Amino acid sequence: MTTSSSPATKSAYAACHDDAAYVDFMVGLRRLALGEIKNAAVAASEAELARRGEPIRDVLDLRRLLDPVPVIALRNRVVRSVQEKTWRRVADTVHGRASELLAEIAEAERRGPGSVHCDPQLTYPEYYTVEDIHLQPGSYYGDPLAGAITEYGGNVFYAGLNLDGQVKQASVGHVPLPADGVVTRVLDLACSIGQSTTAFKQRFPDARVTGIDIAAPMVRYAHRRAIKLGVDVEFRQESAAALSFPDAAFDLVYCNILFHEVPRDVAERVVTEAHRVLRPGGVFVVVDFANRPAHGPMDWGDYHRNVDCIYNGEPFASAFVYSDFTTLLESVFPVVDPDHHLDPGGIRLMRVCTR
Amino acid sequence: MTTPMLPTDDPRHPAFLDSPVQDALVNICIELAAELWVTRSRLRRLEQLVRVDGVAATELIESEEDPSEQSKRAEERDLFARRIFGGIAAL
Repeated sequence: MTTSSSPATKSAYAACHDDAAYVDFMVGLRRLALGEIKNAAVAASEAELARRGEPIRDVLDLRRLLDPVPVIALRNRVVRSVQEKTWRRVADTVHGRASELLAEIAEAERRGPGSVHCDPQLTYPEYYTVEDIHLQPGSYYGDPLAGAITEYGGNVFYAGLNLDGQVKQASVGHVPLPADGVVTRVLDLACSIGQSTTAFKQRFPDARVTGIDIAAPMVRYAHRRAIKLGVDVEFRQESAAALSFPDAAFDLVYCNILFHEVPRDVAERVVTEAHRVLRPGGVFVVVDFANRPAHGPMDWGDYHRNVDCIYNGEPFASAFVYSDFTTLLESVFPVVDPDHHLDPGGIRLMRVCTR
Repeated sequence: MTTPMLPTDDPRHPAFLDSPVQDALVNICIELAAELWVTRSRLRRLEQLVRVDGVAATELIESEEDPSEQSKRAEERDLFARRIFGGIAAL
């Protein structure tokens, strides 16, 4: 992690200086954990694997080998503690501003630019409620202020680099156009607090941009955020696996880091729905983890994925990573670019499908 | 496919180190470090704001302290150390 991040001072996010400083410390410690400490852990894992000689093809054998290595054990402890302590303090400070924030969210629902529509009939599916995703208390649906908690705490997750949605904006900047260059309707699936959604509107000012998310607190907060930015976008609470839009309604459908959070059958329905709502020649752009061979010689990447799935509220990420997701896309779309330029050397891929 | 887990994995109560005591101690260290950073941040902010007779607090802190104040500070230091580590002598 070499890019700098500004210290978070008392800001629009925290109720007081001390909360902002506490969360800022967690940014610093996470940067250390993802940088120097991780590098030391990777080196230690490579040394252990070399000492063993034989390749490992079972992730639990890998866990048994690497869990006791001191730098790896401490790294795991620090990453988990930072996550827990960050969410606790972020939730506390956001709840300290609850009356002000809830009033702003309610007031924003009555005005534009843009709009928000929630579906009081929507029932959250069981897979969605099985764990608090990323350990966020109440996950994305169980706290009316989940949007504010996600925005502030998520910045720690991104090691201080996403306070204003910069990581999401950068990904949107990489999204390719349909071959004919026409982008008049954009759909952002599982848009969370709308950081990609507003970035699309800023990139395509003449397009009508819609963000959908299954969680009501997310779309409500996303709309409040968009109003603060003065960006005219539409938010709707609905599932990406059962879209309300007619066939061929969009030129571009985008999905950022959803698929590793859902079971395979849901992923299949999302891909089918994305294909349905795209017009011929439109593009479906997916940002998510790369796939790994399920029984290849295993290394730090496999170890980290397993520990992260178990200890960071990622119940479906392991199945996704060891799946053939690109093949799934190819079964629905005639043209798939499995690795569009996004994050060279990173763990995320941008897959681009053309209808 | 669910995530493969070891029999010892407990997502709600993770134990990464050799004993629960070690896990708890690391947690405590992180909490203390965070609160120390909060205090340092608050002090730094105060020093930026406070001026006495036109002199910034950051400069005043570096000036020589009155000898009587030094003596009081030494007493406080000894008490501070005893409060925190005095329990060792009782083992």
